[in-house]
Amino acid sequence: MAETRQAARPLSPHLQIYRFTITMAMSIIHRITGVGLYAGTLLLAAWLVSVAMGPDAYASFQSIAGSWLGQLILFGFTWALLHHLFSGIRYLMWDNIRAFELRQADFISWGAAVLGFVAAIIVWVVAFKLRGVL
Amino acid sequence: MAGSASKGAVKSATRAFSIQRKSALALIPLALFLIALILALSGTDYETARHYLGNPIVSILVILTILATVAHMRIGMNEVIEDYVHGSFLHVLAKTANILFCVAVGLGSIYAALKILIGF
Ligand code: HEM
Repeated sequence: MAETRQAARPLSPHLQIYRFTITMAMSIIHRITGVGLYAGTLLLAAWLVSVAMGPDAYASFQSIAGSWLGQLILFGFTWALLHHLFSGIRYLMWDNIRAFELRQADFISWGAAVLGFVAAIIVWVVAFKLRGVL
Repeated sequence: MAGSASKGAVKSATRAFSIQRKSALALIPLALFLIALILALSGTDYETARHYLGNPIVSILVILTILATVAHMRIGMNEVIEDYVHGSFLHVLAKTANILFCVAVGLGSIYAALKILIGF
């Protein structure tokens, strides 16, 4: 039994042989941003709870969020959410069997990646402008 | 017997898939709303934040966003656990932790949102 199983089975190609494709990269990044956003919901909860608790708690939240590390994490959260959103729209399109042709799939994947990044930059430029920093 | 058990599993997997896609669809406008709200409130004082979040329409949208997010991410993380966490004990532990995390974040956030709205 064991011998027949081992005989003449084609081996799957080794991982290193695989060529980079944008659709493949995007599906990994979609998962990473999903898990990051999952953790990030704690920030959202902390923000709401700090407002509910009162001025002192809110001030503490703001000083942490306003630190350079806080700002970096918040930028990461913004990017992850916008990337995941545009990337997620692709899945919803593909569920309805649109744009599954290879070239289109590549184009849409690049588009989602670029849109997510550009949108995150725009949100932060607006945020800095609102605060009078820029 | 085995047949009916697997049919049940297939049914619940289909349901989970459907909820995840519907919540994703709902999250497209809701996530954009959330970003706009955070943007409007970034760096503002306490009174302004409270004023905005105390608006009934804003509050309802915030609560809807939380509900959609929690429903969506519970199923998403469940899938991630299915793929990476093996071994029956760890598997069950991870799935239980996932549910607890989602319920805790959801209830905590909704409690806070309602407290700001009603002020109990
Ligand atoms: C804070 C909000 C969000 C959180 C915490 C979140 C979290 C997650 C997680 C943990 C996964 C599982 C990742 C995987 O299986 O690879 C996931 C998958 C997914 N998300 Fe989100 N997500 C959020 C917002 C959104 C939005 C706005 C969309 C808009 C379309 C979206 C669309 C999707 C889709 C379609 C999938 C399934 C991907 C697949 O089938 O592999 N998500 N999300």
